[in-house]
Amino acid sequence: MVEASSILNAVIIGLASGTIYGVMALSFVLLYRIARVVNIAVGDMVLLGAYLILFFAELHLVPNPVLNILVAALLASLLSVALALFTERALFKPLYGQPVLTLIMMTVALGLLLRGATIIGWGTTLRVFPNQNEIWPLHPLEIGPVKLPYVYVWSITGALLIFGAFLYIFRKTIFGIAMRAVSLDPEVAAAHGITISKMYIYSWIIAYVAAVLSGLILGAINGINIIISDLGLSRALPAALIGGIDSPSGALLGGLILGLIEHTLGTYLNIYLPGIRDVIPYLVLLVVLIIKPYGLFGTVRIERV
Amino acid sequence: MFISPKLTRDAMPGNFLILNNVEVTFDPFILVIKGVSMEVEKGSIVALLGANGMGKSTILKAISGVIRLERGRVTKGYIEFNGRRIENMMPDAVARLGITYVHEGRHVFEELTVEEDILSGLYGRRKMDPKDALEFVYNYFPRLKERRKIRSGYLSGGEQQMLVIARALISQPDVLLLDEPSLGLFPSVINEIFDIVKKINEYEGLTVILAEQNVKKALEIADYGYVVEGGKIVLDGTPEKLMNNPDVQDYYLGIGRAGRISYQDVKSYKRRKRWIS
Ligand SMILES: Nc1ncnc2c1ncn2[C@@H]1O[C@H](COP(=O)(O)OP(=O)(O)OP(=O)(O)O)[C@@H](O)[C@H]1O
Ligand SMILES: [Mg+2]
Repeated sequence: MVEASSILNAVIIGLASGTIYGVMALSFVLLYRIARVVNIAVGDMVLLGAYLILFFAELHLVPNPVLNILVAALLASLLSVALALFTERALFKPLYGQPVLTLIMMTVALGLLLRGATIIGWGTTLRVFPNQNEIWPLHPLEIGPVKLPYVYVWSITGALLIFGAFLYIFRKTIFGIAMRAVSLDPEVAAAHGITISKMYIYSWIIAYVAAVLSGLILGAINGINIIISDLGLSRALPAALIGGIDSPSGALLGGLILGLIEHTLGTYLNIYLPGIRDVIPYLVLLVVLIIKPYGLFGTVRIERV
Repeated sequence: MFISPKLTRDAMPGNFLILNNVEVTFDPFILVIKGVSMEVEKGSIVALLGANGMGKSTILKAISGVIRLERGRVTKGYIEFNGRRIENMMPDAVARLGITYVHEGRHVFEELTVEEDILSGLYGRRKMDPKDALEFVYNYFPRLKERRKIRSGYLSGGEQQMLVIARALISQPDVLLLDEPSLGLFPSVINEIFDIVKKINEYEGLTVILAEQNVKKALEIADYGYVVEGGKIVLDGTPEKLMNNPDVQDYYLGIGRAGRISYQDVKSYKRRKRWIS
């Protein structure tokens, strides 16, 4: 018999890890929504992010370990802005107007490029962030019967900040409205003074920053090596599709649902069927797509005659 | 050949938008506009008249730069706005200069609310507080204010046409390029929309170039008209002159000698005009 408190714990941990899936899914969803890019490289962007944060953290720019990792994350995010510019200008700008499949192939190439860069730069042995145990104490945070590792406290806080800021900008500001306008009808948006390619650059920047920051959490939970790449893609993609592929708030919900099922049902079934946990995201995805082809929050096009 | 922008402007005082012998070519080598010249006076309404496929939209898209998104270019001649050459500029840059093109066919941003849709026209071009800007356009389109929380895809055709004009208006452009606002609308709705356009023109000093098949309605509010055929201007003049022209009466208003026109007549008319020009 499974204890009630351990179920509650699994639920909380599931939701907590779901927040980070949500952030990775946001990275995927935004690129699809604005630039119509199906970004297969999302996991590799997370991987690179983890290594970039590792790189800056190992410089020990600030003595306090917590501040040090935050500064490292900030610097990695800034660097990823440059990467976003390079990715859009050099790799994707020449391809706009090409079929979707061409763009997908380019993201596959981008993924290999980023992954290759991390292997050349850091090898494949498992690494951890410096002073990891001081940043995220081994002893979990105890709230009543729930034991929540500190990494998840970071993950929840980070995800709330990222989604809060993003959704505010996307929904309430004229910039966000302009972004959505480009996603709906680029030609009309351009006639109203909105520069399409700039909006593509902005969505690459947001996608990169979200992925890089996810790298901090995934790296802290799993250690840093090539595994993060597969882990990132295999969670971001189903979470994005469950949420409806073009819906940012759907991405968060998709992530939460995925994390929840993975850590409850997945953990339980894994006792009997070792390995099933990693298949669960795709099983959930299948079920959702069969019931609701647009995902849970996907845009159902207005058809009015 | 070098043409001094200053010289041409001085040569035609009062004209702040000039098209000089403009040719537009689409990839691969499709020549659609074959040497069009126009002079648009500040604060006037100019009508571009003509049947389907004659090139009205393409002229507006050439001015606004929208042809650049359709693999088109101005390959000859020039377009000048406020003494500045603008042919072949990208549409977003032209829009920031104060020229806004409103696509034919009521392209609303379906998933946005009416208010968001209007506000999208303000991005990068805000001259005043968004709230004031909204009030400014709601003044002309009170119906949109009532519907402001509805998704624009759910509006009626007439309301959608109002919406796209309001979206263009909110940035307070100098020139509005309005492409077939009457398309598929009920006569009373057309009247309402044309009245509003005229009002905006009078109160705001907005210059309007109006592409229309509805010749009668367009000439009612226009100060000057051009008839476009096969990518050329075949006739131009004041509304009175055009309305009294027997060819226009015959083939566009259907009230002249021929009464109802047959396809054969139109074809020979076109052929004749092409030979003349
Ligand atoms: N992007 C393009 N590529 C090739 N040809 C084009 C393109 N756009 C327009 N044309 C051609 O140019 C001609 C003029 O088209 P245009 O849309 O300007 O006509 P119009 O006068 O606006 O007609 P309508 O009243 O039907 O809107 C048509 O023959 C059309 O096929
Ligand atoms: Mg047209």
